[in-house]
Amino acid sequence: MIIELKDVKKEYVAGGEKIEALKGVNISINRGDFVAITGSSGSGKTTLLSIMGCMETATEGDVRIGNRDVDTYSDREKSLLRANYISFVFQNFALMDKYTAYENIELPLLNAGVKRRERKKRIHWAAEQLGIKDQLEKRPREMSGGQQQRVAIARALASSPQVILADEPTGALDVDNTKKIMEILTDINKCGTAVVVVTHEKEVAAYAKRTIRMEDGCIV
Amino acid sequence: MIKIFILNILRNRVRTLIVLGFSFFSFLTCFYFATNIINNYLQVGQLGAYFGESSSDLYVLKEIYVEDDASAGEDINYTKETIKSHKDILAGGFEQTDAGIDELSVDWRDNYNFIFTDPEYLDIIGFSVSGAELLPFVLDGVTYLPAFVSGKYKDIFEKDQIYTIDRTGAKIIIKGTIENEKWLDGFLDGKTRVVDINDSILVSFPDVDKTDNMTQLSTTGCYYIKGNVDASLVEEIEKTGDERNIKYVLDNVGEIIREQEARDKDTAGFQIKLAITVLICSALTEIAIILAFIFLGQEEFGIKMAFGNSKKQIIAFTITEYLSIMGLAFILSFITENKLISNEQEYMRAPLKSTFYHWATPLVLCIVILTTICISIPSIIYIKKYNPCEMMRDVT
Ligand SMILES: Nc1ncnc2c1ncn2[C@@H]1O[C@H](COP(=O)(O)OP(=O)(O)OP(=O)(O)O)[C@@H](O)[C@H]1O
Ligand SMILES: [Mg+2]
Repeated sequence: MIIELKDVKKEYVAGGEKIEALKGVNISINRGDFVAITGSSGSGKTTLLSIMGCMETATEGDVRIGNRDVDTYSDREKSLLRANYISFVFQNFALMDKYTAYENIELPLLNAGVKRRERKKRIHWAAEQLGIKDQLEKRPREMSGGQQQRVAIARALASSPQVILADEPTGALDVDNTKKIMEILTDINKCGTAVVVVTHEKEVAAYAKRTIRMEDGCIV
Repeated sequence: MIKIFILNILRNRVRTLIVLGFSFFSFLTCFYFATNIINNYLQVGQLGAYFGESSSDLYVLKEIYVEDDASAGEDINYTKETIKSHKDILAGGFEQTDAGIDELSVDWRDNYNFIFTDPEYLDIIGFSVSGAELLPFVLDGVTYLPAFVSGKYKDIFEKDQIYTIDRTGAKIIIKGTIENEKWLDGFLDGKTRVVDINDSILVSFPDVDKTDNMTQLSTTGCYYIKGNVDASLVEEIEKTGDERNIKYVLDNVGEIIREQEARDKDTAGFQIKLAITVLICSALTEIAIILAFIFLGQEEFGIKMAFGNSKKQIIAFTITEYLSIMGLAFILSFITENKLISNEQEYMRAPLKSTFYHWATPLVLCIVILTTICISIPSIIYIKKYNPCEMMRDVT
């Protein structure tokens, strides 16, 4: 078991008003899983992903990562989880403007304490997988959306995580690039990495082995 | 790690340069004012110590008008002799000048520094060499002036050896050395310093100098009278002046020092206010700029957190970054102030350098640390409050 959520609730307080983003969610992500999460806007998909990735803590319920309760992890350990156990891919790519592609991919490796030589090896390997070897010295602004998302996936892949959590990874891409990116994620999944993809698009969800639908903070 | 650090500073070079510039300017202001204020304070203290407790009944004689330069030597000496004739009065002056020495000088440019003084002056200021030790004596019809040497001259002049001053032909005999003593630099006024006696020969005035016009004119501002200086004495001095068409004034040394203290205090007050204003204004500007850049680049924190940085790390990194910028600004302002002092007049350099190293530098270092803390706090608060999930939902 990589990630397991039991009866997870998440409340936000905005302007004195309580918003229940998750109303008791049960989900588990296993080794080799490929899960698509669909649902209308505001149904809680990003919230679910952020809790699975330890970016936020649940208001109620159990979250277990690597067969350990997240409450027992220190802040530092949670950060380390995101450096080498869980990786994100975002709709807006989330690349740092001032850094080159190489340096962007290097970020989680640096944080995981990977040595310089090994970092270089892994970055080149990941770039090779995504066909962006000749883009490594470019900055995000100098690349197309498709190329940027490849860099972002290379970053997620380079640290060899157990699971990649992708929040609408194709949301900003055209049909062609969507297809290519999903094929890449499928390949990654075939090598054993679990993949969770949040998406609005049926075509994207079709790549997954199973699909979960969310509505108003619940899995249906 | 250091490489990442430097790279990061380069990435944010606009912000870094602005913050560096403001910090440099404000630290330099602090350096400059702190050095001056503390130096003035120390100098006045040294002036008080130089004259000792007696400064309240110590007066300095100045001539403010001399009609006939040609007879000034005789005229001024006449007044001095009149003053000296009072048994309860101790009076004397000095002149710092240079002169050649027949036995040592190769040509007329080859000069030595002299402090010519009335022996009584040494007793007035309580010098380590007493006035009696400087009294001339006659041997086989020749007058010898006992002399004391300081600094490198200790290696040049031999003890008990006789030397001849080329200008006057006066014979001096080296009787000893002067160690770690201070001397007044020029006339006593608002800017007077007490300076270390560097390479110098201390000797009493040869007889011919006592009526020499140049010598007498340049000693009046340095002629000190101690003891029962009452109205009748003042009147007597004025009368001797009237007879020879010279106008004198007598100033109280204690008062001059107090006035100087008061002036220094006024300047210090103004400079401190100015320095604080500059510090606060530049710190506020820096905070505004830093926050603006943090706000613009906040997504970067979110991204870093999503890929394994903890908030603590980001805060530590940010503080170290500010600290290094401030450190650089400190070093640059230190070098600049050092250069400014080197450009000062020579006699000012040594005391200013000493104050700069021993007092201003530790003080400014404290200010640097304080500024770094002030600048860091808003950033720390901002980063602490920052929710990395904002980045996840901020779809551009
Ligand atoms: N920081 C927050 N403060 C207050 N409310 C929030 C916060 N984050 C999310 N919400 C609310 O929680 C609910 C779920 O949001 P979430 O972003 O998970 O939806 P989503 O399914 O990802 O939607 P979309 O498809 O538009 O991305 C929404 O109603 C949203 O307004
Ligand atoms: Mg979302």
